[in-house]
Amino acid sequence: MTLERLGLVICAASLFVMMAVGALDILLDELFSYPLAFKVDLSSVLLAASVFLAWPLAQRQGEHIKVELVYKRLPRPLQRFGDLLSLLCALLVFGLITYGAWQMAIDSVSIMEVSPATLGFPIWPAKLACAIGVSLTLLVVIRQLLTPLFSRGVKR
Amino acid sequence: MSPLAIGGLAFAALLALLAMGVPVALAMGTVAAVGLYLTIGERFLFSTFESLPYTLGSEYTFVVVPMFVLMGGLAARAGIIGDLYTAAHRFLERVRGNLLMATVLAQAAFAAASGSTVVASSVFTRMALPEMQRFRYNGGVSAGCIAAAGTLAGLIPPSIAMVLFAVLTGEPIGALLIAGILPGLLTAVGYLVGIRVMLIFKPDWAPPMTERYSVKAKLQSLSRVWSILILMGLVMGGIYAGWFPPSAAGAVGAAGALVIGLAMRRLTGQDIWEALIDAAKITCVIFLIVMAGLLFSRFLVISGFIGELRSFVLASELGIVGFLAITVVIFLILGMFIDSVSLLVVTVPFLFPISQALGLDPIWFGVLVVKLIEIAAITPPVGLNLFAVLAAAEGKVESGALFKGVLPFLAVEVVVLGLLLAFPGISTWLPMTMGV
Repeated sequence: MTLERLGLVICAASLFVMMAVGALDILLDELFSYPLAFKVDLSSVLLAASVFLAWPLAQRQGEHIKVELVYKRLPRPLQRFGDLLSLLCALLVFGLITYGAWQMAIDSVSIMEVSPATLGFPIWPAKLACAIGVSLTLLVVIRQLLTPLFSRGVKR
Repeated sequence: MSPLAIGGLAFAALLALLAMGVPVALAMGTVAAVGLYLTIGERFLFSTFESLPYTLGSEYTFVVVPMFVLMGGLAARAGIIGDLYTAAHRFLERVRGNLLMATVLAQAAFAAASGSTVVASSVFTRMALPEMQRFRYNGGVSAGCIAAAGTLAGLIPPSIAMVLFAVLTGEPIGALLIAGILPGLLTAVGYLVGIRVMLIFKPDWAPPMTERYSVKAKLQSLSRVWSILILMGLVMGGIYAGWFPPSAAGAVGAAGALVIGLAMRRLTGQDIWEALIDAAKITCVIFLIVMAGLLFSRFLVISGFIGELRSFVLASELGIVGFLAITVVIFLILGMFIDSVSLLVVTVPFLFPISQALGLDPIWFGVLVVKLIEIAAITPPVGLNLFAVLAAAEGKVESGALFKGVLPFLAVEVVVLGLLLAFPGISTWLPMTMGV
C-alpha cells in the first residue's frame, strides 16, 4: 500500500468517525442527556488530518479549481509556461505550509501535546499527520516539476 | 506606494496568474505570501503559515463542509434524486411542461439534502434530459432548466456556499443557512411561474404528454421519498429550532442518509467508500481555497488596502444603493469567468468590510452574495453548472443551444434578485425567529 493510499484510507476513516461521533453525540444528548465530551476535540483533529492527508491525491489528480477560459485559448508554449507557473506556485505555497506544519508538529510531539479543553485528549498525532500529509503533497509537486526534465531524453 | 495601488497590483497579479491557468487557491496563496513578505516581512509570513493552516483545518465549524458533502453524496448514490424526480413527474402529469417543473421541484427537494450545485446538475442531466428529449422538449431549454434548478442547492440548506461565507466573515453559520430557505423557495416558485409564462408564448418548447399514472402509481412514488424528506426536515428543523449546531446537523444528515440508503438496500460498501473519498477530496480542495482566501484577506488588511478602500467608498458618498449596484456588476462580470467558490473567496474579503461600514445586515448581504454567485454559475460563457450539464449531456445538447435555453431562467433570476434587494425581510425574517 502506497503512502498516498494509506493517507486516503485514514481520510475516509476519519470522515466516517466524524459522522458517527457527531450523530451519536446528538442521540446520547437527546435521549440520556449524556453528550460526548471529546466530540469537538476528536472531530477537529480528524478534520485537520483528513484535509491535509487528502492533498497529495488532489494535487496528483489536478483537482484544484482553475479558470480555464483564457488558458484554453493560449498557444501551446504559453500553456506550458502556465503549467510550470502553477507548479512553482504550488511549490511556494505547499513549501510554506510544510515548513509551518513541521514547526508545529515538532513542538507538539516534543511535549506530547494534549487538548486544553478535554483533559488528556492527545492532539499531537493529528499535527504529525498534517505535517506528513503536506510533506507528501510537496513531494508530489517536486515530482511533477522534475518529471518533464527526466522524460526529455526518452525516445517515443 | 499607496495601499490602494498595492491592492490594485495584487489583484492584477492574481488575475494574470488565473489567466495563465494557475489554480485559484495557489494563485491567491502565492500573491498573499509574496504580498505579506514585501509589506511586513518574513517573520510574519512564516508565523502565519505556522498557525493559520492547522487552526483553520481544525476549526470545528468547518466539520460541516465534509458532512454536508457526504450527505449529498450518499443521498445521490442511494438513488434519491431519481425517486424525487419520479414522484414530482407523476403528480404533475396533467400540467404542460411538467417535466421541466418536475425538474425544478425535485432539484429543490434534493437541494435540502445536498449543498453542491454541480452534483445535482450532473445527475439530473443524465436522468431528466433523455426523458425530456423523448417527449420532444426543446433541448436548450431542458438543459437550461436543469442547470438553473441546480443552483437551488446554493441557497436551500445545507448550502456549502453559505458555510464558506460564514467561515470567511465570522458570521453565524446556522443563521446564514436558515436565511437561504425563503430565497431558495422563492427562486423555485419563480422558475415554476417562469416556465408557465414561457410556455404560453412558446408552447412548442414542451409538447403535452400523453402518459397518465394511476393514483396507486402516484402513491407508490411517494413511498420512496418520505424517509429522506423526514431526514431533510430533521436537519433543517434541528438547525432552526436550535436542537443542534450546524456541524452536528451535518453529521446527523450524513448518518441519516447512510442509514436510509442501507435500509433501502441501495448502498454498497463501494458506494460508501466512494462517497467518503469524494467528500475528502472536495473538502481538501475547498479548504485550500478558503485558506488562501483568508491569507489574501489578511494581506489586504495588513497592506492597508481594505482600510483605504473603505474610507474611499465612504468619502465618495456612494451610498448603499451605489455599493450594491457595483457589487452586482462585479459579480456578473467576474462570474462569467470565475467559478462560484473562487468568486466568493476572491470578493468577500474586500466587499464584506465595506458592506459592514455602510451598515448593511450581514445575513442579508450573505444571501445576496450567494444568490449572485449562483446566478454566475448559470451565466454564459463560464457558468460552472452549464459546464456540468454539458459534460453530463455527452453531446445531446450543443453549448449554443444551452446558452440560449438558460436565458429565460436568468430573466427569472434577475426578478428574484430584485425582490431580495427590495425586501431584505425575505432573507432576514426567518433567522430572526430562530431558537437559540
